[in-house]
Amino acid sequence: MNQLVASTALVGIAIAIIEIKRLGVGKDLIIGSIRSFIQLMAVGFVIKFVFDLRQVQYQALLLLAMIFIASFTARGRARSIRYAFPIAFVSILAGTAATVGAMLALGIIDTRPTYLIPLGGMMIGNAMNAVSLGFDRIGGEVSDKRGQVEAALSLGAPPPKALEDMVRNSVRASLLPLMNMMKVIGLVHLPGAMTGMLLAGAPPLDAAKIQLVVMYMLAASGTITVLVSSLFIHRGFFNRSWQLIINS
Amino acid sequence: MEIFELKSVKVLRGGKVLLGPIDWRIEESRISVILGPSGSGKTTLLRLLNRLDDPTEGRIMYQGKPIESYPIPDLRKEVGMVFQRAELFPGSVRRNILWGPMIHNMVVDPLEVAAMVGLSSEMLDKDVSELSGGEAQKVSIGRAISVGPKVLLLDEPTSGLDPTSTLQIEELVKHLVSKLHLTCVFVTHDMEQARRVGDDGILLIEGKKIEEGAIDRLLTNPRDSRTLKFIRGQLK
Repeated sequence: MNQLVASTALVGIAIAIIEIKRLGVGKDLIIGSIRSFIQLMAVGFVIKFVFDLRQVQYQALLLLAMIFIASFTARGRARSIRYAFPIAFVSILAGTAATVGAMLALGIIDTRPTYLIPLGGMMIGNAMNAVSLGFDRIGGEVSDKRGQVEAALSLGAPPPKALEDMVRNSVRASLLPLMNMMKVIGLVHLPGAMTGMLLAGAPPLDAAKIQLVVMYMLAASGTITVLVSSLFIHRGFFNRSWQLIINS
Repeated sequence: MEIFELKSVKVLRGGKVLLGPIDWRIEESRISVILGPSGSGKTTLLRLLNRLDDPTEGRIMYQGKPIESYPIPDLRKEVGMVFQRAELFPGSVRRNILWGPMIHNMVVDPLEVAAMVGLSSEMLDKDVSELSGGEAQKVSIGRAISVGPKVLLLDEPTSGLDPTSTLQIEELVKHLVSKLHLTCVFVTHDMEQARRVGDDGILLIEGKKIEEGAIDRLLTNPRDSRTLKFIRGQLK
């Protein structure tokens, strides 16, 4: 509790300095701090409740709810894309199910909620970021290259073919942060799982091993999510008559 | 014989009438011009013929059958389109020319297509970013004819080109129409260009068809006072 009070005081000092210097972001920081507090405490209670139930179906339900919220958030990045929510939902679900399922099947984790919920959450968060970046990139590309897309359609190209170049660029863009993270992992920052384990007193080598597993699974979940989303993304831009529709 | 027949075609956006009602028969193996000032609905009308858009009301018949009865890839293979800007795909000229045939699993000699649009064989491996406006538009026409269309739709293909390139493109279109027995629908706002390329056509003003007929007659002996105003540049 003392740590919480101390860190809140530090945020208070930061806000005071921002206000004195009139930097104009004080309000955002106050709202952000309060929002994080409410969200994290609420999630803490929900997770505690699910942990106490000790039944895998409730954990699955919680993960599904997290995927729902993640898809909703990703949709916010994709106002110009029709069906962005279902595309994000299916893609994140596929990425998360494949990686969490593989970890369970390989015996890396078991169905105890202390494993399933935090690791599942990491996969979902990562998949959400990948799909959001992909949406953002392809939305921009299709708007900018509308003429090129319609030139392809006018030749009789099916929608996935008309979007091919743009989908390739968006897949690359959405996986870039992951690739960058893999390049500098351990050199620039210690990632979340490893930091958490070290803080909890685990031996550094054990922490590194677990982090490696998490890292590879994150790479897999991001890649699977982006690939699944790339299979369906054309549905967000075309109608049944292969006509380009961009939501305004 | 008509290749397209438009029956009371209307396009509405947000409750506002952009085009129509239009009734028009487009004759086979001719160059029909859609003439009109900016914002008169010329492009909107042209796009309907390739089904890049559909009309809100009315019907379009293609070769005697409703246009929507044709599978989209088959229709678009038969009705090629060239846009105002060349809208080339990134990469080489060869990639652009072979793009359509690849979609339709056709074997086409890119040299032959290049020659047909007046491009040398050396141009085939050139990157499209290195092309002049006129060259790019020739590639765009080559791309459209590479799949063997019956109809070629051209949406102000010379806008932004210099006078020499403009005349070259006009001659190329006329040459292709006669050599490949194409039907051509040519959009322009330029009366002199309409006279140079067109056999017949229509005049659109504010989405309405004002007049139709042989281009020479339409521009020299108009029957509607609004056509006369358009010719004299007196339209408000």
